[in-house]
Amino acid sequence: MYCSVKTATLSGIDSIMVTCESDVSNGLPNFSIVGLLSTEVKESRERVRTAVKNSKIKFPASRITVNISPASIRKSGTGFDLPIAASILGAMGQIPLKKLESILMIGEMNLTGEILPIKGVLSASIICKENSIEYLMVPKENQNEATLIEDVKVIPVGSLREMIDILRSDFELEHFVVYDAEKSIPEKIIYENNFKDLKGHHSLRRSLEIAVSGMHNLLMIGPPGAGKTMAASMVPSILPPMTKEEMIEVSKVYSAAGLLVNQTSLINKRPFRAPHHTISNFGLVGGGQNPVPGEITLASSGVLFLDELFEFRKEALELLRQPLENHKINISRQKNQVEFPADFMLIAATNPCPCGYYPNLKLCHCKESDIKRYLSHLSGPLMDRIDLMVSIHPLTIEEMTSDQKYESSEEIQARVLKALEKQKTRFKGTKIHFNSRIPSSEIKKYCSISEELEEYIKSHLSGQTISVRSYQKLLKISRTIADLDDSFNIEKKHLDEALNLITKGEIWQNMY
Amino acid sequence: MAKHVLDEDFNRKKYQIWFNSIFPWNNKLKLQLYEEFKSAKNIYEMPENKLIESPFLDLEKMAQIQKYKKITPDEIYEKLLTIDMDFTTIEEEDYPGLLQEIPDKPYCLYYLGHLPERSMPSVGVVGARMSTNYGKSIAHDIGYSLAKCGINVVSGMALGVDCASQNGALEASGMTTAVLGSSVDICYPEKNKPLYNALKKSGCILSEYPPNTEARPAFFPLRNRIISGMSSALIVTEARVKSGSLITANLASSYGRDVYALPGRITDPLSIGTNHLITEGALVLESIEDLIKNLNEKFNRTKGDESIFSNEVDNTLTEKESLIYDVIDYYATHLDDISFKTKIFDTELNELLTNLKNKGKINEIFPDYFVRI
Repeated sequence: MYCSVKTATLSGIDSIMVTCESDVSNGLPNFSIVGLLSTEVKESRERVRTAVKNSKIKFPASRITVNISPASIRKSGTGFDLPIAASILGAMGQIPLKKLESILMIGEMNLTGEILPIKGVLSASIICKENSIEYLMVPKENQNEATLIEDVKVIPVGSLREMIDILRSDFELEHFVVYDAEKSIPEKIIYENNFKDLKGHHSLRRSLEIAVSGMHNLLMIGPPGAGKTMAASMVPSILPPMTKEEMIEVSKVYSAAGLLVNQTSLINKRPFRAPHHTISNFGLVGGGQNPVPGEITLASSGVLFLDELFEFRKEALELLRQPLENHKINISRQKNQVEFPADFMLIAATNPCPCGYYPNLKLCHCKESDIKRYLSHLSGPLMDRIDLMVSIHPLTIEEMTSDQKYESSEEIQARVLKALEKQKTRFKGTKIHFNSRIPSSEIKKYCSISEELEEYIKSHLSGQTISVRSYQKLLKISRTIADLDDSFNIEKKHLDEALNLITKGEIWQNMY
Repeated sequence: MAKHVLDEDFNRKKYQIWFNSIFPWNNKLKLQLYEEFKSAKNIYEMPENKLIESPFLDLEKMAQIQKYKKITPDEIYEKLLTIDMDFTTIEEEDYPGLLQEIPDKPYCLYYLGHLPERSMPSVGVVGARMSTNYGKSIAHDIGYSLAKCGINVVSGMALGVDCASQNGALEASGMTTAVLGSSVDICYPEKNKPLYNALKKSGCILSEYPPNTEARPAFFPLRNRIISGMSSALIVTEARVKSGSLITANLASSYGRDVYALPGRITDPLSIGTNHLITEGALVLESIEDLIKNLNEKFNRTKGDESIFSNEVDNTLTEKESLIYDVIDYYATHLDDISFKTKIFDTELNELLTNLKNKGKINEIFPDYFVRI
């Protein structure tokens, strides 16, 4: 007899619907699975056979052929055990075929027939909704994740036996759980790190505010212990709250990376990823034979913080060039080609010199050649993609102990939201969301400046080599500063501040 | 293009360069032999059985001389001239006069460019490589003023103070001499290539090391003795506690030269060395005018251009600009410090800073750190 069961496989962060079909017929006893499978799917044969036997069902001594179609897509992941078992049982006549038609199922099994959690359940849930499949059967541990999508009835199962019982019952399927809006999107989000705890550092606060208001990348330079890491960890608290679409997008990534298992709601905090500098190239941008998302994808819609930037492998840093430009990353492997989102805001921190104390000559004894070598870690092209630069001065003891009240994240966020609101109106009907994402072809349209100011820039930058990208960067940052200032036009003062912020890179690299 | 040398000079100097090439690293021996035999030519022409009688020569050294007797002096000198390099020795008239007085003077000095005239007084200007903008700007002004007064500015062509003072001298189209810790055909540090080329054209680059010698740490103290030996006065602008500049200063005072030190703040790590020199009896560099006056008295001259010292008051700054200008120091001042003291923030502060930068009043030496010019 023949039976087919719907299931899903991950490709990038999205799932693709595939069908698992089985045929049990007379002939020499044989059990084969076909359909462009990776090793872990092929191994499924042994798991299914034993799990069925251990669920007190006699595994038939017949010719069993399982095909996972379409055969053109490479299937990987461990979620195929459950649908394979179900399709065989269906073909054996152990469970009613009718009920299987309205179910998409995924799950891994162990030898006793217990169902184990898997990756990418959220995106499976999304395709159920897209394809109007009524039920989704998932491992019990993945239940919360699966119910984050509206209109999908989720049947959590703990073992193969349980699945059989549910499907064999005479009644309609009742054991499902559904989406609960209140549970999946909590209202109040509280960030642990608040800007009110950051003392002093006026220029840093200002730069971070500008950076966030236009999603510009930022590099902090400062001596050890000046507060770079602390300030960076506060950034998520002034980012705008996520929309539901963004939450689903971020959750999908985390689901595909297997980080959503115990999550009871959609991810509603903007990601803040701070990988250690020993990270491998693949770890940073994603990769592997079955590509998995890297840190830049996990930081998408949020902040990627690279502390001690120069300690990172030079090669790994150069890999950031393309994602910083396109906000996504394409990973091509022999049999796979996937695209991961990489729409993050980069915040990097570094010391000014090998010892860390320049320009404090009391402490810094670095030789010029040492500093030069140190700076050479940051290539021109990467420097070009970093919009803002700010150097941090260590706090004085007076500042540290003062009782002065500093602005809280909420106050800063209110201004950021206002600036973003202006951008929303400006970019209405386009795919652009932030000033930093204006494509070069549209710069003239969105960041127009008066002829006088154009002359001013020319006179100011005459004799300096400035790349096209730097010039556009200047205009984009000026636009953001003008937005923060609630000004329709870019004025000289906005331009001046932007000029000061972008020329720092050159000052640093041409220190001598 | 090969340097043109008169036949008469050639015939005399070829023996000197030959003699110098035998023991390139043993200056002491060369001085001793010169003392004994009175000239390089004598040594060349002296029969071996006479030479061996010298108490300074053993068999090994004799073998070295014999080896060199096989090479003709003409050959060595011509080779040198093809690379545009020339030399002088203590036997020559153009050897720097003051340097003749010191006990461990180098026998031979290779040079590019032209040697300072013997009648021209020389003053050394030295200081830290990693120096503050203030130190560099003072060194520059000193170099400029000295050169304007017809004084040869001697320094080491190192980064920081050395480079600033020599550039200053060149700006005044005056004479300046760089004494290197490598041979003169190697530009060390590489970074100073423009200065090197300018010196080759209109100044002098000196070294006691034969061509193709890379700089080595051990050479710098030896180089410093030439700087202090050549100069009738030495000016130290900035120096850390232990530094080459202090070695130069100590040597200068041991040779009986005047040492001037630029006083600094006691908290400034780069002034500790110079302040210490003052406590040890160095002259205080009160102002450049004073320095020039003192030097002119010392050299019995009246030449000098006083107009270069005008300290005009600037009225081009607006009220807020001068408020900011006042809190910016000669030492790196951070943006946050400026806003902390002036209570001017963000957009406005940046606008004012840009104006000051455009007016050439301040400079951003490091991202967000400003100094006065």
